[in-house]
Amino acid sequence: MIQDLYMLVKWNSANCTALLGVPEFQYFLFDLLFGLQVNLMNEELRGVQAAIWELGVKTHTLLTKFALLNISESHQRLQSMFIWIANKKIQTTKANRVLVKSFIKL
Amino acid sequence: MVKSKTLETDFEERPESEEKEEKILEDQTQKEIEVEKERNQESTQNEADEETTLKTEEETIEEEANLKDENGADVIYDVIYNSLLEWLLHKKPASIDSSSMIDDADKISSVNAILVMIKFYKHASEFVKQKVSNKN
Repeated sequence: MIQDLYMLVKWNSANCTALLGVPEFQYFLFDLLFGLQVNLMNEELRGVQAAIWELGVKTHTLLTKFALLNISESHQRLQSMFIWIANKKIQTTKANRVLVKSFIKL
Repeated sequence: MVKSKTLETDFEERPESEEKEEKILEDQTQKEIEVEKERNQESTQNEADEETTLKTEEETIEEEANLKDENGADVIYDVIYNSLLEWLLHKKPASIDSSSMIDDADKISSVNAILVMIKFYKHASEFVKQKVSNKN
């Protein structure tokens, strides 16, 4: 599925504009890559997961490049990405704190 | 005096008629109870039959979902994904066994298809998630 989306984005720029027009897809890709990135840092990412991560990163890079070159308000996309990353970091640290507290109570 | 006699006879006769009525009522209630019991038994049997049929249907669906092809991929996810891809690219539906190929001429034509694919990704098998449709 990710491979197909990557091929669509790579070969036809019209597909870039179509995918950039769906904000849900952007956050879906962020969530997907973030979840895989956590495992990548722990050196647990192998096989299918590694392939999905690589293709996801390529798709995201192509979409961002197309947006920056062709869309006038593409800076908003970058801005939303940074805000999303910051929020995700806060959420994960909070979740980790809750986990640590629960372990300490046990 | 005559009136009083008739009243007395009435008073004496009443209990017998009441007893008869009571007996009739009891018989009717017993019959109704029996009918209700029979109905309940029938309904429980029907429910049990429905449950068994539902279970068999669920089992068949699970069996179908557990079907795997030569590569070990779930067939049902593969079929759903192919149909979604055809919807996304506005292609004609192919046969169940064949997988659709992606060309440089393919264009995304439906936003709803993208949204459905995003939802589908969570449920799809690992093979479908990284499936390569293009064999070039």
